[in-house]
Amino acid sequence: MTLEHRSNDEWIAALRGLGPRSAEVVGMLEGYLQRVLRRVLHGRIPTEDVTELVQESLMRIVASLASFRGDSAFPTWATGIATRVAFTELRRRHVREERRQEFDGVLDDVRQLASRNTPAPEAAMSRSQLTAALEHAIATRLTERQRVAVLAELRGIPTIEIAERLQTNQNALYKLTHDARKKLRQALLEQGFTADSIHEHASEAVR
Amino acid sequence: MTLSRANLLKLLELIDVTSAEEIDCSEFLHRVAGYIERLGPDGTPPPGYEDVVQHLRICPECLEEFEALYRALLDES
Repeated sequence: MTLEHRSNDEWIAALRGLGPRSAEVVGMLEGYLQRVLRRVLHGRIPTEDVTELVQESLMRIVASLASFRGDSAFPTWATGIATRVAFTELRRRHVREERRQEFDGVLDDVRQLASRNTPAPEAAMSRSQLTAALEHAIATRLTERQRVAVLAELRGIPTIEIAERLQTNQNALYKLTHDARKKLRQALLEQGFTADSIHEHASEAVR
Repeated sequence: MTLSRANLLKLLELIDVTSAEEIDCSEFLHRVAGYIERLGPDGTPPPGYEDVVQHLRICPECLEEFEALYRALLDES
């Protein structure tokens, strides 16, 4: 029986240790994830470490079984979880190797912002009104944690690093930055910018 | 602190696609498998997955994972 021919219920039962061939089925998923993760990672993590990631993925998959909604084939869902585990590890390694100084740079930016009187948009003659309005909104509308999170994300710092430095988790970090984006959007609208004008300026980024 | 032009545009792009209600990265993880299985052959997003498409525009890390997962599943099939 191949991966494709097994029903979602059969997968779940096997991973819960039920059924006569439970160990065989888990071994099948393990081999599949090993193969797929090697593709996903493109040699960026040594093979022996991929084996560890597969084991960690299997634990995460089993722990998340109750949240599987059945709106895809089970192996596709399981591969999504394994991909998250693998990329989280990749980002951890990247942070350890290269990015510590980046976060210190973010904190410097936030400190400078707090110690400076950012001009209100109408007073900013030398920069575009939009730039001035956005910087003013960052300085006046966001909390310090929101400023740190937004500026760190703009620098491309992995969320795992930002969450760790802010002593929070990634879901709470997402909410923090989502609330910040909503505040900034609202501030720009209050300054007279329209949704269309924001979209027009933003489109420059993808041209 | 001043925003560089690149960061200004990046932030504006994020603000532009910000919705009142968004899914976070955990919810995205639960929905991405169904999204991939229903993607059209030309990459057309399936109906009912607008929240997933919106998250992909906001979150570069989930986008990176989605692209890797999609390619790996294509290779496997």
